[in-house]
Amino acid sequence: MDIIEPEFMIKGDYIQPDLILTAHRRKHSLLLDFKSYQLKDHQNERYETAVQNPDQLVLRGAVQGVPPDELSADFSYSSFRDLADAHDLSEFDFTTVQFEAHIGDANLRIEIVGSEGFGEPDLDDAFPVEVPHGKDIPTDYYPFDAEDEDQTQFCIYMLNAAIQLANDYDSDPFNVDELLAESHKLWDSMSEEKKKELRTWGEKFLDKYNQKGLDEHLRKVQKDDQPAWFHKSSSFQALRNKADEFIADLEKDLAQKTLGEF
Amino acid sequence: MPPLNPTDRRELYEHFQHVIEGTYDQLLEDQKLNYKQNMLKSFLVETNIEATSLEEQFEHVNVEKVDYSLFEVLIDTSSDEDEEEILTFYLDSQNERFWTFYSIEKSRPAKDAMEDLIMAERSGLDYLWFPAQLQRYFTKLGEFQGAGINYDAEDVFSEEYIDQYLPFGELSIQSSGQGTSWLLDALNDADLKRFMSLSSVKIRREMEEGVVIERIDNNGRITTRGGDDIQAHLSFVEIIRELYADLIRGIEEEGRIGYPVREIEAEEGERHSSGQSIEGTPIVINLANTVENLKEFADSFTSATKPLRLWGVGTWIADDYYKVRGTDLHNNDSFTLEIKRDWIRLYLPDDACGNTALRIFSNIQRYYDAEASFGERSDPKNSKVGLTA
Repeated sequence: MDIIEPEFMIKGDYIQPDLILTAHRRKHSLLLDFKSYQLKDHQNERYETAVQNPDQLVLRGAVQGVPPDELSADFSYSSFRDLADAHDLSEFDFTTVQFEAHIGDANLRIEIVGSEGFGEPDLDDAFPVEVPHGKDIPTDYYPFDAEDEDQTQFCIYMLNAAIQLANDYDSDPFNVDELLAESHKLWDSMSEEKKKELRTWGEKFLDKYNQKGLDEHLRKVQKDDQPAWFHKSSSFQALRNKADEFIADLEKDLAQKTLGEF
Repeated sequence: MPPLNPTDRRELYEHFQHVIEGTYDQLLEDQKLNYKQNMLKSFLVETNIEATSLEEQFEHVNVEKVDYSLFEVLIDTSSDEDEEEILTFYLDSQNERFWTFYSIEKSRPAKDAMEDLIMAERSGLDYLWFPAQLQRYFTKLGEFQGAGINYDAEDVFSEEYIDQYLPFGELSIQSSGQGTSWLLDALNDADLKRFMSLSSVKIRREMEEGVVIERIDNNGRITTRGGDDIQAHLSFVEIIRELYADLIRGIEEEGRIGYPVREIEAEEGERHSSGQSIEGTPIVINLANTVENLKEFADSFTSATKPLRLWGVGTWIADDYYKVRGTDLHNNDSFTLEIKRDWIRLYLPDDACGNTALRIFSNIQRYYDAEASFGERSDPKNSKVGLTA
């Protein structure tokens, strides 16, 4: 993994791919942009400029450890949909890959769709990538996103972050940004749009956290000055007994849209 | 025997010298010890605090400097019901991360006092957690003389879970003498090996300085059961400490996950932080004892109780794939476990203490699966001891 969500300028144009993966032995970088629906023409042009000027990736600091004039680059959109169905990318030399979950014997399958392939033959040979059942993909590198299916993970990570902050500083309340930075290691690099969505969730977390008395509960654990460990232990066990109900309630709240979101 | 009020290291070691010689002679003659003639015990402890802060942290602890990085530590173990009893330990804090507490107090009170100290909230201290692979390696450091096996699922799992999924709630075997190797080999050939968690090993070690008979417990306690030279014991403790420190270093270098921020040039010559990289991979623990009930297994290990002191909340991420995000209440580090029937992935942040990984791993061996091993890619390189199967 080289870099997640870098922002930089190439030939006067600003680009922000979601991910850059670099094979240092091959001196080849793959820029990836994850898309659900819409592609914008100006983005296509900018990614084309980046692929045609790979040295700029090194000179701007997005790729490290490869001499600028020896680096080559590819760009790919990736999606759970076949983007080639809705968009004509034929004028660009891009590859599109599609993710599909639970295909045949695979837990996850990633294949090239609607295009010839990459500029690096070894990379082409790697596709389709199949993650078999039993070799489930790691989930913790990027623990949650602002997508509905990540709401449970969001609640759990925020709850643990609350405990860690309370233990670190002996105080609460904490603000939403502190909790988000503690619970998501990529918080600082997220786009403002995504931060805004997660802050909305975070506010709901804190409302529910106070409403359910978890703030009081955590304070009680903090101030429990009994020397014997089991006093602490029983307080934490009680907190966990509350946790499942808390998470279920919060998920309901997160699922409710405010008027402004329609 | 000279009085035990040492003014420097040499006097302390001279006293210990008499203790181990006396113990040795007495054991040979009578197979028992005289009153007040206790064995020398060395407790290796992992730490991230200063020795002098012990006194500020614990009301019942008194610390006096004896020599360069050597302290006398008095622990008041009295309670309302008991008579006042003050136990004496000597703390060598020369190695900043791994301290050694020495004691010739009786075994049980000394062990309990150390447990109270280490398990106290935010003590900044932790046991050393020897995995089975390291315990087995110790048996090669001298002539193997005995072993203790303790499998204590009862401490972690509910009665129902044990009844339903495990053949033993508790299994305890103590063996010494020549038959120990034979017994271990015989048990190893049977299905029992998955439940044979080594709790201690005893070896006789001859070194240039002399001979020592040592019992090494799986939490860093080394008891000298006989011998003729304190230097042999001191050098043995150092060897154990370095073997463990190597494992911890390896885990901290390779088994943690970091998210370094990258600087990018935005305009001509102007740099700003943007984008993050991900470095490192999770530790994979392979299980020989498959997990029948993932949720109950995970909940039992993260219920905030001793000895693990892990708190966590779990969710299903697929039918047979369970995930727990938790907090290590010992040092406040976060951790994530992903659990399938026959493996566990452990994610630790890049500032986590490697001791957390060995605490989780060695307790899985002790309470669930004595044959648990690190996956090939998780094995700490440059360590003399491998943690793979």
